[in-house]
Amino acid sequence: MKLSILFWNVKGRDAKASTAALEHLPPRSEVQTPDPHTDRGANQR
Amino acid sequence: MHLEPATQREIGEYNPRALKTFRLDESLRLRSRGGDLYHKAHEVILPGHEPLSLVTVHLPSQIHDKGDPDRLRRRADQCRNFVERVEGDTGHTRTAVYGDFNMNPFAHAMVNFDGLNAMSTARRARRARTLGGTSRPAFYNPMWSLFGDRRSMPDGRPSPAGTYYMDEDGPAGYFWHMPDQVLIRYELAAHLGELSIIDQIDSELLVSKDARRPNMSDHLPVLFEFNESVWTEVSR
Repeated sequence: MKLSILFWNVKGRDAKASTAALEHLPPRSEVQTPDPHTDRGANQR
Repeated sequence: MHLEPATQREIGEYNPRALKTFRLDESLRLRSRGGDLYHKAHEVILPGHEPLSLVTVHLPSQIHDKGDPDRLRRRADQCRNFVERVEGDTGHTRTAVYGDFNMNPFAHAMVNFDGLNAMSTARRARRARTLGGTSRPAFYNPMWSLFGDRRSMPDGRPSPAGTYYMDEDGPAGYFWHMPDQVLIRYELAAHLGELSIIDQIDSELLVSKDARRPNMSDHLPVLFEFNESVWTEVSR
């Protein structure tokens, strides 16, 4: 079988919309690993 | 004025962020191989077959580096050391490392021998690089192939030129960046299937209709697949 991985860096404020979008993925999708850390409010680069 | 440092919890509540990872088949088993603040490792197990290691990373932003480029290289060095420790523990190098590295594929720290040692072609990653008597296995970074316009979208528009768009990028800016990357060891390169930056899931656009910039999150998701050939039966 194939091994398919999708990963996405989403902000908390975007989480609701992104989670809704991800509901369109194949039904066997599941969260695999949590974020290694909570970004220190700095991903504005 | 005296300011107390914010706790991790407070920072998290201020700007919670999640690197969401989805495994698109649940018949595979996962075994934790440890982690720290910026890295997590899992082995993916298909019974009767050689396992793979998946290392998820989310490295700190360069915004705190304050003009010290060596901090970026040190983070890359720490990331490489974490991966090498996992590979030492598992006894194999069938490893994929992915997530938000907060640097581009062409960043000094990404390609540097003393950084992540990640090459733009599988062939160049075929053999370990040796420098000053030290030899290190390289990574293949296939994200190089996803930069710029690729006119393959069904509606005739270019596919995303990166995973992150920076509007105010200064006079030497690239505007499109690719902090979200997948690095793989050469053992896995021949088995890499689809690799794409996703800008639409079903009918849901993740980018603005005309400018095609990320609009649901500031990053776009990345999908990568290994073909069935990646599973090698365990020899008895």
